Amino acid sequence: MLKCHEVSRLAASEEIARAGLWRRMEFRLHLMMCRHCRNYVRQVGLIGAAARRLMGTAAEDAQAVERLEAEIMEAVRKSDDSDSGAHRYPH
Amino acid sequence: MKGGEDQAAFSNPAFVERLRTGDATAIEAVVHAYLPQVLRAARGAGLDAQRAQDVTQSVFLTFIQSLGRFEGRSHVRTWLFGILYRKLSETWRSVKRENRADDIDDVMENRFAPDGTWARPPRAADQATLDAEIRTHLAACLDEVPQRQRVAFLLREVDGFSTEEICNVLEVTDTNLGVLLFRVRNRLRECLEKRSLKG
Repeated sequence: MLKCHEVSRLAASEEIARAGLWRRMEFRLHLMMCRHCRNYVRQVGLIGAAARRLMGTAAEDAQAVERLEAEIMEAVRKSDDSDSGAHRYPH
Repeated sequence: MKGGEDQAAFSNPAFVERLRTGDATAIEAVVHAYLPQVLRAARGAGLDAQRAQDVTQSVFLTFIQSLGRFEGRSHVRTWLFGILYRKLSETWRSVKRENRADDIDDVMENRFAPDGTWARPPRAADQATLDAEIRTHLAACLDEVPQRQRVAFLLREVDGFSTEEICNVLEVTDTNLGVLLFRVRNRLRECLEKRSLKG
């Protein structure tokens, strides 16, 4: 029978996703019976979801993206003009 | 992210061959598809806006320089993020030490009684309270996480990389990745709980 210690490790390491059927059933059964482990797994999930929101809303600077794309493609074109075939680009 | 479509199109052997021969249209498609994601990952790894832009530019220039060696065995996104990770690693001093004993392992062990049950269980709180607390403190807690753990966590949770893809980018086994994810998630959870209790 799985103990809380092992359940937390299986969940946070994602090892449970690669575990066999029997172990996954034990894991689910344990969560049904143990509110502490349910809290733990829920909190780990909430932290992941919050990270997606945080990074999704982090100033993704559209102007910077556009400028960088233009600079990189300019380097590609310059290299094509000056050195057809062998690709050398400045760092 | 246009993810699925690009992922499939960029795996096409004909497209890989165009990339290898330096076809500007193919390169532009990759730059356009992945530059925002690489820039966001560089920011997520803790670089300030200017340094993240510098590293992103450097990643793509290295990518273009090394296209002749790209054989399409891994996906173009994995190749790009591998370059990003190596460039980030050059700026970190403690990476090699991170795999050794980590104090978060002791913190977790102390949460449990000898029989494997919780001795100090996670704090119970309703969803709204937890959401608010996590929103308030997550950025600060992420800043306290060792860099490699932080990159593994963000590739998984924010960029949605598969286990195999993250292992290729970080050059670790799936067991090592499990340890990294276990540590980072517990570190974040402990940090959030501590900060929430302080108010």
